[in-house]
Amino acid sequence: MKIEFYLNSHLVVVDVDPMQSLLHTLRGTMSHTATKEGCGEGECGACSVLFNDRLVNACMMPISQVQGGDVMTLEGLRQTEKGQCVINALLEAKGVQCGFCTPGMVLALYALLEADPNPTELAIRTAISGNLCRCTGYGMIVEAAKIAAEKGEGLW
Amino acid sequence: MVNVYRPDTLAQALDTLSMGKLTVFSGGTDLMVQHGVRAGMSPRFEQDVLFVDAIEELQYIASAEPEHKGESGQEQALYIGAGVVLADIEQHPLVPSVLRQSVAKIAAPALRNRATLAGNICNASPAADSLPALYLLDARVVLSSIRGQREMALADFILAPRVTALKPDEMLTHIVIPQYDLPEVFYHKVGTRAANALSKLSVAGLARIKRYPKKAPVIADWRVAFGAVGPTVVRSRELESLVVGQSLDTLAKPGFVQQVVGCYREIIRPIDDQRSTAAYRQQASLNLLTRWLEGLSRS
Repeated sequence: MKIEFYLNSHLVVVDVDPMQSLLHTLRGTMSHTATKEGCGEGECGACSVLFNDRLVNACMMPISQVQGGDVMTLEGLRQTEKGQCVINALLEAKGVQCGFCTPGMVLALYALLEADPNPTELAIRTAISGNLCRCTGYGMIVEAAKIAAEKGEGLW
Repeated sequence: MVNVYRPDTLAQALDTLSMGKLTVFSGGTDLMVQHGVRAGMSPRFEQDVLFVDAIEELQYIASAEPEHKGESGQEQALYIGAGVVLADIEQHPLVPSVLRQSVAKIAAPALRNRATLAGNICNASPAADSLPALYLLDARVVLSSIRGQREMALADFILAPRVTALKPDEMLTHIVIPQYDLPEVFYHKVGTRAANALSKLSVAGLARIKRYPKKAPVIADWRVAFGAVGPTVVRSRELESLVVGQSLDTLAKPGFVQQVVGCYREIIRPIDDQRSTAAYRQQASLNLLTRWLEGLSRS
């Protein structure tokens, strides 16, 4: 089935199984591999992307539902000033080790700061509560959110 | 490969539903997990899929929408369309606090951006987190098909784990919450971790206290419901009547609380499963009930 949508602001068309997940379309069909597959059932957040400006798990969305919509992945976000702000904050806070969760974390932190430019610690922890990290530890990632809020002042 | 339909009007969706067996798919966060095969493969659906996420008519939260006013005849009721995602319910000022609190405990933000309240209801899991709150609020559901609409109490709609009163050509289109004035709210979910954990058990409570200038305050309304401790939500109007009408002074007496808790001990009969044991579920439920009653007596 032919599906047309915006991927990182570019109109794309794919011809795939209508129930295939957006995650598999991104990774398998389109070779956009920043979005990771972890648990495959919406619990780890490694596949987080923005769909119509909201954070979603790409593993849980059949590509049919993406028809006509707008998808932003790390590949697109890192081209923006806000995306770079989050990425730099993660590097500064040493919030990256193996990096597997990082694309999802960047998207989750971006979604948080877009909604709330000065988040409390609780708001930060809630925002990343669906993104599992098994090596860095959340302290540095929470710190990164604070750095991005501070250094990106006026940006959000 | 299955056929998929993604209409943008309710009329088209109901027409499609009348044609035959279909899986109604909104946020699909439960369906994708249930039909998942393994990493790298598309989920396997046995029936054709009707996506209802593109239907604008189902995406609203409004008080008393006359067009959809059902046989309950409530003048002031809150209507939630089946397409509304949990994140929007969590943030909406018109939604009762007990429902907002319980929805906020479901999974994590990204999932709440897709999952719907209607989906949580139709999935009819014993551990569905929105259900205790909805039972307490005497929520009703509107079921639509090309034959028309019918409305029923949520407690009658959910028949057993994973079983609802939905007919094959029907879909749940609206949730109706009669607007009660119940300012005292209690909600506590017990899970393994703060996010993304299915409930071991949950307890929701609502109450209204009448305060007289010269008399002791009286409990004018009192409700409690337990989730994940039985095949469906446990709520007993009979036992609630033990508390309704009592003064707050009575509630402060330990003997009274023990008596009420003792009655609930008889009706909370959970099972052992992978998430918890029956004994833990029962005791934790009763402890939370005690906390709800004691907290109220001090309010």
